[in-house]
Amino acid sequence: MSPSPEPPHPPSLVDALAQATRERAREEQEIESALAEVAKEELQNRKAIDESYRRITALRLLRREFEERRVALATSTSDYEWAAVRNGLLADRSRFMKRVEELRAAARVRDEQLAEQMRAPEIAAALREFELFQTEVEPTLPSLPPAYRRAIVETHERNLRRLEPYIRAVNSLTPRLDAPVEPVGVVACASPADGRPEALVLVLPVPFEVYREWATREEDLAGIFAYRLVAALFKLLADIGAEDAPVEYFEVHECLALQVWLGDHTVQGDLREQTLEHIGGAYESGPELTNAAVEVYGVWLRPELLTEDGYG
Amino acid sequence: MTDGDSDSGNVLLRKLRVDQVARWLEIHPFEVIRTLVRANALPDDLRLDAQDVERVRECGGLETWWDGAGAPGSDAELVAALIERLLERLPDAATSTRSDNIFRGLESHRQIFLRRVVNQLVRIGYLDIVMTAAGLSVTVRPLTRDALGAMTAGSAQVQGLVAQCTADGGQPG
Repeated sequence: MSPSPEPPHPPSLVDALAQATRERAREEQEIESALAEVAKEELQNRKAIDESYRRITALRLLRREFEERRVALATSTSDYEWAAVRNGLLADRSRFMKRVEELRAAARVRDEQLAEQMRAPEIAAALREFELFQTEVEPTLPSLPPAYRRAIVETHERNLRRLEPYIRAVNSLTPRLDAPVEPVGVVACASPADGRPEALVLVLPVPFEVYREWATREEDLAGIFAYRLVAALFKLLADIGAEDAPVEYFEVHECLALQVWLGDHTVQGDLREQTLEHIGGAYESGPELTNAAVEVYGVWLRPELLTEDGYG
Repeated sequence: MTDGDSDSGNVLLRKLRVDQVARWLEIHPFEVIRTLVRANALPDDLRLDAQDVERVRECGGLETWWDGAGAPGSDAELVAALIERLLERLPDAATSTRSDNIFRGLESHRQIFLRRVVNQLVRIGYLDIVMTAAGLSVTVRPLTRDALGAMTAGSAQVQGLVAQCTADGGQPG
């Protein structure tokens, strides 16, 4: 039989205390580590919160900026809108004036053809009699015997009938042009944009020289077009009860502009609607624009788009 | 549409253009249009005849105040004659005349001079500029008629006016 092992010695107090101290120290270390970990995480979260606050503040500022821009956009004109109006007007003017040149060439050909036709002996004779009647015979008619007078007048009327197609052709404003239709705009605006209008402006796609240099310019489609719009403007003024409102002519975006001061009048009716209607009426009032294959449309704009110095 | 053709047939049959009438009447073509619209007599084809010319003259209130060659010789005499005509043709505040009537018929350099004179008379309160359906018009202020009537060619006021309107040239209006 082998001897039985000795039972383990119970821990001494010292050992027990030492053990307890070690346990406590270990626990304290664990807690410290945990606390450090918590503090670290808390710090990180605080930083994240601070960063979020910063971001929120930045976003608020950004939002305010965009809201201000939205308000500004609704109440003012952007550079590109202004440039679009200017470029659009200049492009229309350029296309219109090209058509004017094409028409001038066509008119020259027409006039040559007419002159050739009028050299035909029968027409030439009728012309000679027509001229004689106008310059010499007509003033003496009252002093002639009735039968003689009647015969002369009948001959003259016969000549007139024979010449009638030529009279019509010579006096037609424009020959018909075989060309694709060119749309051009007539811009209109009232100032102020809202409320009681103090001024009305029309801008035509023709150069200002049509007004300023009329005495040295040959009458062309641009001039005739301006006449139509001037007539339309005065008809409009009569319709809205402002017949004696002062009208001025000046240059806007290198185009002819017509301006009326309405501040001393109470405009009757809807100015915008009536203006656009009269612009349409001007287009339809003569055959020349249709003959020239030009289509006119009225465009109503905010007044600031027509200032010469632009925005930005 | 072209001016260039010299064919007698074309010329003979051709009616008057708006710019031709404007040249004859010494007004802007837009004024011809304005007057014919007011008279409800604008031809659809924008071609005019002698009757239209007379209509523009009459409805537009066009008057020719001067006969170029027969206008007074010196500037002072011209100013005095102008004042005399203003008082005679505009007897009260309700009567006005188109501002261009005052200069029509004069040579262009004398028109410029007289324009300055009229501007000056407006500035000192003797004349008024009013807007009428016929366009810019001039009236004589009633309370200044006597003072205006005293302005004869030899008067100091007319001499001063002439000096002012020829030397520094107030702005031609």
